[in-house]
Amino acid sequence: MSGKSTSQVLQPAADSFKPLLLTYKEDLKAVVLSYLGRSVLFLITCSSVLSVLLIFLFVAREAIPFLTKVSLVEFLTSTAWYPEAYQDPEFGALAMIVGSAYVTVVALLLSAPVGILAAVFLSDIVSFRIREVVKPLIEILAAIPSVAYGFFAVLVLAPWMQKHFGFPTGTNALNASLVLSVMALPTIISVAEDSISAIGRDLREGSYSLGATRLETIFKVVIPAAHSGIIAAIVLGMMRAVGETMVVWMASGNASQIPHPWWDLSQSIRTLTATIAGDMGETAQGSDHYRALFALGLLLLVLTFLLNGLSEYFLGSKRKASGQK
Amino acid sequence: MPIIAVSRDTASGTYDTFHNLVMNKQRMASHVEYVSTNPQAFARVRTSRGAIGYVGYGFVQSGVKAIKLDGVMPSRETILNGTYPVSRPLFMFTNGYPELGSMIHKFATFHLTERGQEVVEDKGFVPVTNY
Repeated sequence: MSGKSTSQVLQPAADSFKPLLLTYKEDLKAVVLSYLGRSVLFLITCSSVLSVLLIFLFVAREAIPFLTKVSLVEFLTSTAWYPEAYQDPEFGALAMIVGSAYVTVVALLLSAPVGILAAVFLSDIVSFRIREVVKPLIEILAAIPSVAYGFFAVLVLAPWMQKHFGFPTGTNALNASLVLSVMALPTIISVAEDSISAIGRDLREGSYSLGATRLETIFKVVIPAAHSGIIAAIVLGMMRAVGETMVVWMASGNASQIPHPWWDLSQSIRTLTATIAGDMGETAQGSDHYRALFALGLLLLVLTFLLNGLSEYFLGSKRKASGQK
Repeated sequence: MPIIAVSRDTASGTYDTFHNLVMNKQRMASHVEYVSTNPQAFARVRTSRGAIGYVGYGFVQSGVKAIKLDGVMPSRETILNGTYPVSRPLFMFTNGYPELGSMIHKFATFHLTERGQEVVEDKGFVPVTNY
């Protein structure tokens, strides 16, 4: 480059005789380089897509021999989980599917209202200076390792619940749900806060100018306008709760049963993630139990894909809505 | 008061021993809670009223009560002479018999040395020799 510029300085006239078109060699070089650059970047991008696909393939490959051996109906409808029994082991995952659903739904019932209200408070009510302090603090909540939450659940929350609520066991559905709801909070708050902040000032001012109070503006204008982002925030929080392993493993009690009566959260339950994590460590590779755990993993993957699609759909409609404005 | 039964997870060796020697390979009830480690089982029993569980002998510490089985308390003597019915040996596996004097050989036989047996006893387990 510098050599070329010095030659330009020495022979200024030579350049004007050079045709605008590149030489064949230069042209080829440029084409090859641009394709090379493109393909390298494409491969880099693909590596993450590819790893998702490979995870899916790997889990499916380990799970499918099991699913052909044991009936899918039994797997999805039986609650008897005796994978290590010597005579006819049973692989019923229903109790775990229900357990995962329990902790997720209860955690969201607790964290969604709190998270959304906190997001509204941060975006619309509190002063900028306090918000600059509070928001990073909330995000620290997401950085606490889940095993620390688990220890808290087992050593503090569980004995406390037994002592004050009179629950027979402290490691139960409510314990796991409570801790999960705290863990889902930072996700819900930050995504919801972003989408509420993205609602323009004009909308709020329009509402005020029509005589609406701040309360009316928040609940009848701002939240409805940001609803798709808020739903996406809840779905993302849901994914956090469904996929969380360490906390539910330590806090839920891991009893493979569906609570009876169904609303009794003081009973122990068992989730998909906890079962995989708890059993995988010492299961003989290639055994039915091992493959059954992969089948649980496949179930979990499919569930998360669906939830992810849902959040993408709502985040997409949020983008579309803000794009139209 | 409801009884809380605490078990190790189904893939553990402690579970396998209990399953064979105590449960006679019968299934556990669905309300049995599962924990992933011996210390966790110990902690659950220690902190919960009405809880019962099983752990390796070395994990029994103050705060819980060991109970008699067939009228026999677990102790170094009763486990060694076999009158306490639930005990199991632990094995070490190497890939082929290790070369004498090699690091692997030293490691795999450490527990049989006087110092190793002291450590075993110190941790609350039952040494195999009267060193």
